[in-house]
Amino acid sequence: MKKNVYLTLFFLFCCVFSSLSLENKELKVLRWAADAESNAPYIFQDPKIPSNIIGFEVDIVNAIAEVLGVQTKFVQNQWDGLIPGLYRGDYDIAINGLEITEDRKKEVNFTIPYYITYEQLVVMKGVTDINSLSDLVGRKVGALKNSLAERILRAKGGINVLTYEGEVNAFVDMKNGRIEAVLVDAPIAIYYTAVNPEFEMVGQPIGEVTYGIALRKEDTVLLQELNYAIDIIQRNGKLREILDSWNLWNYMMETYLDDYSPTNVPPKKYQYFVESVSKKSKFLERIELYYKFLPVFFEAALITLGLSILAMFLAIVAGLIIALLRIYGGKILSWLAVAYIEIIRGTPLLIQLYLIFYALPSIGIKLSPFLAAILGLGLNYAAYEAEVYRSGFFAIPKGQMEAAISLGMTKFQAVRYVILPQAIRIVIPPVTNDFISLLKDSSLVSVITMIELTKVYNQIASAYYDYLGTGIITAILYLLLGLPFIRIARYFEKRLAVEYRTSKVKQ
Amino acid sequence: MQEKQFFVIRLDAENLLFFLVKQEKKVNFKFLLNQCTKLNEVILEVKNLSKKKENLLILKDISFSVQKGELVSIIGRSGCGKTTLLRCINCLEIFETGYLRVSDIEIKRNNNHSKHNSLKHEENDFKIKSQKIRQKVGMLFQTLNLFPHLTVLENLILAPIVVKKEPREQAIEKAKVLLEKVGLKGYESRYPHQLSGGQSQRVAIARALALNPEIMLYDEPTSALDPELVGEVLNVMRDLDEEGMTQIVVTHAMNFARSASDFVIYMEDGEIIEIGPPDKIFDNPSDPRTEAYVRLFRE
Repeated sequence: MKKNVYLTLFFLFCCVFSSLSLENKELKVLRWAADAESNAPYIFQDPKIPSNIIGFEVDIVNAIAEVLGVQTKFVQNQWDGLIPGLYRGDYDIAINGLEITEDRKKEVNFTIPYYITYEQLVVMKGVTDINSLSDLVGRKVGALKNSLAERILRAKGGINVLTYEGEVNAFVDMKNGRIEAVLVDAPIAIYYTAVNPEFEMVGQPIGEVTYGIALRKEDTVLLQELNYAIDIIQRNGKLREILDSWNLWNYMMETYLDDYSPTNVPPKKYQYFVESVSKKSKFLERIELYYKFLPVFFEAALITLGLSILAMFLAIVAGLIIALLRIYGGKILSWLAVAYIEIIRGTPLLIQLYLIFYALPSIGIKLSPFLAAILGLGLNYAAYEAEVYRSGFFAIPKGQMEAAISLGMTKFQAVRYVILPQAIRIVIPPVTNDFISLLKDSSLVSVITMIELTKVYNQIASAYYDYLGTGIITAILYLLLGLPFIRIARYFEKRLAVEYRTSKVKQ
Repeated sequence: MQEKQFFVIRLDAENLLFFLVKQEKKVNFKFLLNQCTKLNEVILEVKNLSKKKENLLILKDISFSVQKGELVSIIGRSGCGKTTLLRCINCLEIFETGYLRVSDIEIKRNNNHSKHNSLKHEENDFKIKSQKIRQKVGMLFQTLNLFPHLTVLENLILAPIVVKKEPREQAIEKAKVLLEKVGLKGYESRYPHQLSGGQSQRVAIARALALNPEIMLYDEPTSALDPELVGEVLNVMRDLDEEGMTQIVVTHAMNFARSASDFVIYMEDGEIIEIGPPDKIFDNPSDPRTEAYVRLFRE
């Protein structure tokens, strides 16, 4: 038992050190970040091979890397975290439909644009009275949060703007009749309407969106290199070829690149996507598709499980220490324990994760995502476990402590041999309960670049616009992950309560 | 020689002579005299002990002493401070002023300290000494508080192993002997919940004895028990008395106090009203307050 504890501690120790090791500054590998949940055509999972990441931005990064003669390495991060992550140093560039705006320019440098596009109105098929921005006045219209589309709609005035985290939510809401139109970046509109024939694009292009690659302010050499590379692929036709193959070449790019020649590359990749996604309507094909996803889901489920077990282990150990300090620690330590519990319980886990992941590096503590996730979840749950333990301790009659003390034991010995073993029996059910809860809360760590079960669900679901089937798979996986632990806990509960049970039978 | 001496002290004077004669040793009178004075040794001494609880004086100037091998009963109405006194002897409660000696460990306390520093020093001193005292004093409580997660045997060996660092085998060996002594041979692997109240208290006595205490304290050991179970616990105490164990009992079992005690202490409102042999306390008390109390039990 003791050996196991030491082994685990040693393991955690190793994790800390490996994650603290310094990274190579010299640019041999271009580490680029994006959110693979951000849908076609930007960056998404290959419908045929879900572990592959494809998209027109993937092609652009590869083209740039080819010009610069470097390898590429993809780093997954939540879209909201792309810019903060740059300064954590997990990757060197972020490319993911990041619009070049004045606000963002204050934080990061942008390369010259690699793509220019416009906002597109989408309505339900058959709607005829919406054709322009003016037609939207007095209606409910959806847009993505913090997008140019939202700003355009708000500037117009008189429009009831609803904002969404993902475009799929906006489209589903329109289908359900909650909104009448959606204004999104053209690539989204083109791809979404292609596979969902109940929607259609209407009206003229609105506004102008320029996408650039974001990088840290201090990386000026890298900025020059990237601009050089983008310039090269613009000149040698590589960029055009990519955009053509994705069916994204538009009149704005014509003017930007001064290239008015007709398209001669067939939109192969666009067709590939449309075919593989819209074909899934048949039940058997759908099952076959899900079957293909399973390995990806299983891998993510293992990460979720490992993460949860390690975090819970930390929570149980740290929680016990905090509870002991609170009850037996004397004035100062007990006050500190109470403060810890109240602060951790009183603040959102999400904020705590952000602080550990993005704020700690600024004072020199840079943890790997996995370690940060374990620490964040574990230390958060430690506060709850501490209170669970405390209730367990208080359930032990006072006479037990006195009996132990009067047998010459020190307080520490009394807790160790008499109080704790009894308290643990009492807290097994609530601790199991918390573990199940942690298993599900672990989905929050996707905000700090961990790819776990819920993240994979979001990625796959958004790539196929299929939230139902994949959602059920994910839910079942969570259930399966939790069940064995409920069983184990019940077994221990029964075994440990054997003395009580037999007494009941006897009496 | 050391060993034998130890064994000898455990016997009363009569048995001692018998033992020495049986061993066919030359009777060394100097040694014998030495042993006899040891038998009369005062093992517990309480002088001018006072205790406050929230500005209420709950023990007032308590003084008495107990000799080795005596059985002392403390009687009195509920709330008169007898339990608190017992707990003070075991240092489960801190007293403000007074002197306490258990065997060779002395605690002197004086509340009127001018400097905070010396007070802190004294608290530490008290902590260390109370730890030592508790190892010499076994205590049995009113409530049944065997450790419910451990078997009877584990209850008995826990403290010897943890506190006295005895080897497990030796502790088990001794525990079995003690269980037999309290009449519970064969109950080793039972859990406390499988025992009756009387059995629980007997195991608790054995648990305390496992630490080889010099004094046993009992806080109303039978008051939580069904009437028919009281006898078995009191009998164990009688047996211990015959073996020469020093025992102090807070009790409402007047018959026991009367028949088994060497002397009886009557307390009222935190004060000792009268100390005397049981016959005197119960039949012919000198204080009217004692008279009023014992009259309740005469019918």
